[in-house]
Amino acid sequence: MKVVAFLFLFGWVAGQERTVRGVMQPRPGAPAEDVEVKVHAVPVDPPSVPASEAKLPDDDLVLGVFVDGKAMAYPVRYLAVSEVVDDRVGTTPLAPTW
Amino acid sequence: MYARRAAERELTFDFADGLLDNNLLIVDRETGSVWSQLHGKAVIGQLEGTPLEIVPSVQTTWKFWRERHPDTRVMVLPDAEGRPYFYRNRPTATPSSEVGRQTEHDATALGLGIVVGGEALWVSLRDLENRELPVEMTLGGQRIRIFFNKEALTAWAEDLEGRLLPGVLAYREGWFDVFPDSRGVP
Repeated sequence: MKVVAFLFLFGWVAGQERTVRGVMQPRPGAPAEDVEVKVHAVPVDPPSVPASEAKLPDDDLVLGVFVDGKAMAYPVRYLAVSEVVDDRVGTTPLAPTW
Repeated sequence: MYARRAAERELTFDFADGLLDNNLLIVDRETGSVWSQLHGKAVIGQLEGTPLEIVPSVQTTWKFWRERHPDTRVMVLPDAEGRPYFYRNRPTATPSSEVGRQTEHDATALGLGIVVGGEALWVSLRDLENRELPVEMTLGGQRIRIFFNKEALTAWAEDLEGRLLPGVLAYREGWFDVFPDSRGVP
């Protein structure tokens, strides 16, 4: 019974939306309004594959970065899903955004 | 692209609803501060005003990037097909013939935005297509070279030593919302 109650509470908490104090500016130059905004969790340390294993069309757009002697490409088609991911290339923590 | 470091700590970002100067917002899990992507700094919260370190990057086609970095790795999202992005009205005037779930953007309004030494510049890809390349000029007291590849629909800037400078492909309207005093290419 205690296990059931715990799982129910865990599920309820996990399903709660996370919000923070943010800002919404309906159009550039207009007053920015303080509003509570929803926060959406994004991938952290997403997997990657060598170029030979990538299944991308040649004309797919990517964000490319070369840091710590390593090259990494972030397909825009994936960045567009979450707008930002949290990754690391070499020892550098990166936030590619779209 | 930014390094996830500020105020001597590593940050983990999530995406937040909301808009500021036509720019989307991100939130760090560690302090709950709200950050503007194009401004590159926190605009609300404990870290308000703190800038993010820019890591130079290039937006280009997979083919272009792969040919120059054959050892590159590529991010994958196993559970997501993603939303393909295409540009219509490319400077090469090749219209996309695939419509539907794909998102189309108007390439004629797209350009390269860079900030060097506190001075901002925006130049359209269409303008670069008609120029002798690279364009060499002074920005923020530094000599820079601007490159353009129309097949890859990409542009980037380097210093005279060939080091990539921070830049972003941005639409004119969005760029000038944040950098209204941007200059153009002479």
